[in-house]
Amino acid sequence: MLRNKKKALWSIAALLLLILAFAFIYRQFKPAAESGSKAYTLEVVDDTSGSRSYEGHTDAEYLRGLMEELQEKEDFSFAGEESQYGLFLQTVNGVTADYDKDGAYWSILVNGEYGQYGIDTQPVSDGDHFSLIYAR
Amino acid sequence: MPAEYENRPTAKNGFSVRHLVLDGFLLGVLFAAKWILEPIANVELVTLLFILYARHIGKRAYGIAVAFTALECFEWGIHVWVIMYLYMWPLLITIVLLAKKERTHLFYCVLSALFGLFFGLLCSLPYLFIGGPSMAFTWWVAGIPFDILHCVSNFLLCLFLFNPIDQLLVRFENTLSA
Repeated sequence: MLRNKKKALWSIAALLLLILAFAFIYRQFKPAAESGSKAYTLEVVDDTSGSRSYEGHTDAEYLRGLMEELQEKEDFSFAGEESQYGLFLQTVNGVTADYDKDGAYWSILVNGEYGQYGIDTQPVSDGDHFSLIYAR
Repeated sequence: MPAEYENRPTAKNGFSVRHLVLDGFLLGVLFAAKWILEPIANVELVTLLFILYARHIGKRAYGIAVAFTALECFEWGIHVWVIMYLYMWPLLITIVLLAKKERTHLFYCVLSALFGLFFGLLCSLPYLFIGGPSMAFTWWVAGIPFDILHCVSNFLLCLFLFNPIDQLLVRFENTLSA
């Protein structure tokens, strides 16, 4: 009985230790954002393959902040559905990608490569080139 | 852990109409449980149900895992996650089948917690081939907070629901046998 209790306590302690190790790895390697004035290019490629490019400087740490700034200054708009993972981008410049209807979605490219994050967690670095591409 | 559970022989494998009915029902329960909890990120009953299914029906749980992945494809379409599902759930089932001697409730709680914690890491494997180690690592790290949530929720769900669902399965099996 006592042995089982000891075993249980050790198991739970080991599990907690592993959780802490994972949290440490996240803290060390999570996407870090730069602050300060950063140059960027944001390109939008819509469903007709029409492209529009925006250039500017921002202090936003993440892509969503940059897009919100751009929305206020330029002829640019975006909308989506809030989820636990951040905003799920559905509409850009009035063009809606409806995944349920035809499998369409807005893909995010960062410096020519597929982004690993949503717009809420995608960091902005000086000189970044973002592309929002209507994909199906 | 109830005595009847401890003493129950492991499931025999082989095809029968009774098995087909039971497996179809278990697949339905699994799909419904996934669907109901979908709005809550990384809180799911699928891990617990696969652990229990492997305990109750043995290797037939592999068939349910494949059928479940196929059903999910109908709902979500075919993407990289299909590859992940095709090795993640069978891996869990295999661990349960190999750990026949471990019959403590705590073992299953820790197993489901570890499965949740390592879910992202194991799911990042296909990205090794798609974009290399850097892409796989970045993908895994981005999801660690969700993996921790997955770990804690799996542990608690197993802690509180393992015995009630286990007994329901025993009753259901007995009803079908009668």
